[in-house]
Amino acid sequence: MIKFCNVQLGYSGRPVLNSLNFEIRKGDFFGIVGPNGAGKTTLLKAILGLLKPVKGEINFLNIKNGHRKNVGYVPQHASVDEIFPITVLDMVLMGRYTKMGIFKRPKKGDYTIAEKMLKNVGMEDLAEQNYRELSGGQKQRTLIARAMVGEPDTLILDEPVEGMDIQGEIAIMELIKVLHTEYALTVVLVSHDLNIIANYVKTLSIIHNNTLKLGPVDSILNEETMARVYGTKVKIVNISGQKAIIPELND
Amino acid sequence: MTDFLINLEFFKYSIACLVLMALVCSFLSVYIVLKRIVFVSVAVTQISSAGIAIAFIAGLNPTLISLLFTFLGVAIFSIRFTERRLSNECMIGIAFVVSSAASILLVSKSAKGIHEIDDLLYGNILAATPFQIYIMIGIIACVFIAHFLFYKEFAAVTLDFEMARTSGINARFWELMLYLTIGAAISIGMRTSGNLLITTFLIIPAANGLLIANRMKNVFIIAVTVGIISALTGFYLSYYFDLPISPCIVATLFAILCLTLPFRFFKLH
Repeated sequence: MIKFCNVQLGYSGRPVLNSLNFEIRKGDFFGIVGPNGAGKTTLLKAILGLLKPVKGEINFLNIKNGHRKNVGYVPQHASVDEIFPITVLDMVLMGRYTKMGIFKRPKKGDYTIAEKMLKNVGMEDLAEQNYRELSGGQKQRTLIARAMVGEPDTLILDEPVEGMDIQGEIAIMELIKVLHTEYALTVVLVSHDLNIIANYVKTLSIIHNNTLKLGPVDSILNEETMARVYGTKVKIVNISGQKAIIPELND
Repeated sequence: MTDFLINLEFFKYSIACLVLMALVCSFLSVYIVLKRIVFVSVAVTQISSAGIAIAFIAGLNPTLISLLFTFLGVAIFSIRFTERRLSNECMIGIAFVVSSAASILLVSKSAKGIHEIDDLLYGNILAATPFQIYIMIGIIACVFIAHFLFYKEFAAVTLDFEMARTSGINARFWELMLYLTIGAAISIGMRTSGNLLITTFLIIPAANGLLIANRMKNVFIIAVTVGIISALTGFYLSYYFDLPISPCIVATLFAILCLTLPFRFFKLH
């Protein structure tokens, strides 16, 4: 669906990521991790088509009039300005704007899809609530619903569990997993939280030394690689079928 | 009051001009405050003043030159610079101080001097002509038609620019269009209302609306209503107390904003 061929990414001529050669396949659950400042956001912007490569080529399927179609983007909930007075339903309807076309206002069909999606993310009772009055988890659910009403085949999420407690993290990740299965979505997810990512994604990509190392999660997630990437020793243990990455403390 | 009503015929163009400026600027103030571009509007207003100053010196049409300068200003501010060493805020500040100084330097060499600086700052609403009113009505109608037709696009780029881009909306284009409507509103009123009043109309009415309302539609209604009521009340107070018009309107807007705060407090508790 998205293919990077020898891509270099950067800003103002300064390279951030080099020699990117990989493909995100249809139906994949693709996770991107890396230390702070490694270039996760840069890579995400390139995948979204917001950043042109300095070198190389990024091929997207489903391009129409220069714009990529069928991509649902879920930004970090903190990046959506809370001073905007908007209901949850209206926020979700925004995801239909491109489908509605210019000069058009939301129609009954748009409301039906928005209400259905709010139900899918467990937010139907809060449809008339003001967005700014929601909790972090509820905001994230609303933004996921907004991305989903455009009926995407690819869902791209930037730090979807940022700033949430454990219960909130699991609830959001389970929701993404359900949507991935029910709607046969390709999911691309950026997170700094290895423990969360390791238990959900199929393909794991790690940004290290300005490039990307990727593969099936079981082959890439090992103590040696983690120690090299994060510069600290870690233990990877399996508890009741779930992976846990635990940093080794000195003494 | 009777005296004021008797003289109403004399003030009709001034009042029409004030109401039109209050209407369009208060409406646009909602986008300005929500998009957090208050300082862009302040700088653009100053650039518009510099345009008028140049028109004075060169003997050109002030409204036309002001419009040209304003559009140039908003076009530049709508560019998202990738220069990481200077913030956008810094560039806006530079534009503000340079255009302010340029306006003063330019008019200081004209025969009228200080009076023209006063006009730039406070406007000369009493000198409004029917022709200016017709031009204002035409441009304001275009602004409102654009906002009616393209509400979705303007709302999307105001709320979440990145989402708008990724969803296929030509976000840069619509942001520029939004800025141009703001620029048009600023430049048509600059000669009559002055930059103090226009800047105020572009900020305070939205603050009232956002403090009270929870829906966009209601924010627009409150902002426009507060803007028009303040314009009319401020004009009457200036007549009654024999004070300059613009500061009286600013004071009225601020007084209404202060009255809004307890209302907001009681709504929360």
